[in-house]
Amino acid sequence: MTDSGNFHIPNDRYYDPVNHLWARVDSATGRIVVGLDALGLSALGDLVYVTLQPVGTPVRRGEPVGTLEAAKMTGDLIAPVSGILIGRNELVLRDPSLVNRDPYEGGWIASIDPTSWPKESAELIAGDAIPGWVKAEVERYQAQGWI
Amino acid sequence: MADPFIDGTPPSSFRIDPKCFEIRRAHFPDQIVFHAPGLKRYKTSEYSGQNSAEFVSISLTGASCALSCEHCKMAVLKGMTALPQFDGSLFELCAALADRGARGVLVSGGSDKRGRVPLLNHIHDLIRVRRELGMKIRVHPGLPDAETCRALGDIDIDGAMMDVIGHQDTIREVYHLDASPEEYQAALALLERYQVPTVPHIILGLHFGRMLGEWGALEMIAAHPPKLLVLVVLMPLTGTPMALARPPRMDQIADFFQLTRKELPATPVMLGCARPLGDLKVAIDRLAIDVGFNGIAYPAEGIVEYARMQSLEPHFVNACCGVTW
Repeated sequence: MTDSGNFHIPNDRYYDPVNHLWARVDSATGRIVVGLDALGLSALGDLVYVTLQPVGTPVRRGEPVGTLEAAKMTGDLIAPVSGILIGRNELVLRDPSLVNRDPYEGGWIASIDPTSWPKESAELIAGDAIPGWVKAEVERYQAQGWI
Repeated sequence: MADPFIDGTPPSSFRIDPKCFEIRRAHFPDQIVFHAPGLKRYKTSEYSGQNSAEFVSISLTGASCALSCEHCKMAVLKGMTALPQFDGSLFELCAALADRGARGVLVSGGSDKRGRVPLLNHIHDLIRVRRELGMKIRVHPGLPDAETCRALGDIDIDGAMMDVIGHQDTIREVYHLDASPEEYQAALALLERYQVPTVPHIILGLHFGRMLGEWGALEMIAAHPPKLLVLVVLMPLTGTPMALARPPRMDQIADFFQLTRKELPATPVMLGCARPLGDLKVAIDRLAIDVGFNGIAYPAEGIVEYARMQSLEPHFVNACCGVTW
């Protein structure tokens, strides 16, 4: 677990280095569970609106899988991995603030049946690379005035 | 999702007077401007051209404010570039921002106990920012005193964005300010006297969600014709005493929007940055177009197309309401 500037970043999962979505492999199903990390959420503020493509939609890493609206941002929700959208957290769709309250467990957003996980997981941040990435990202976000 | 139409008032339960759009057609071209200043990152399927470096919000006081108003509690200041954290003057900060592509700034900040944002300490810098850097300058003056109004007249600012409050109880209970509506009216008169373009804002539902001083504020503003008027709607913010406040009902918002269009037929009226998000935002944004407003900040998904359907040609500006380059 990494705490940089009070941002809790668990080290049991992967992170999209730009969009601050986490991706965790569900060992039982092989699916990728996706959510937003604490630093990304800090820059967004309170989430108030989340939309997702329908279950069964093919998604590509780096392309929109839905939209989100928050106090400090309106924009796309970018898929961290390619595959088929296989699950949507209906609780989050009804109450997006759940993501702010519990970003790493109950506030997961979507699950994806991956098609290129071995290749794409190498493009994500994980393990020992997390602390350095978080430090650099905190500095980048501060320079942008986002946090 | 919970029903966004508070108290069960769906958007279809109020009537829109077609005269409002006729007023718009009589006084303005068939264009609408959508604004996306750098205060918030913004991208929809209809607009992806925001450049948050183009127009930057600066807080002269960082996250500090002596008033700590009930609806804000300094939350808005936290998203701004903090001058106290910059090693240099306001001019030097603006020069650094200009080097990164900024063409304009909103100079804001927390207020002192008398409701004034401390602009007076930076007048010389602001004059240089305007003359030497050529930047468009908007300011949040708070409730400016005579000296500040006079000094603002020396800068050639693009506009003074002043929240106008029309009821004593709201000034005291929400802003914690020992002032009266008459002092807001006097400030508007002073700004007019010193030929400072004004961009007054009215916050619908500022009194803990209740409509209270909005009509008084509109009356005061109409007496001192502004450059443009911006209406916003209470946006309950987490971590503030108003987090659970309910914004005004859609029919109340619709009534006030229509009254505004009729009272200020030749004044551009904009829907500003703050309003409830989600489905309610979509309804408010459509309403703003239906009643003939001239622009919208951070329009909801689908609103650009909705404007086109009303034969309005959309334009986009990455700056505060009414700023043009």
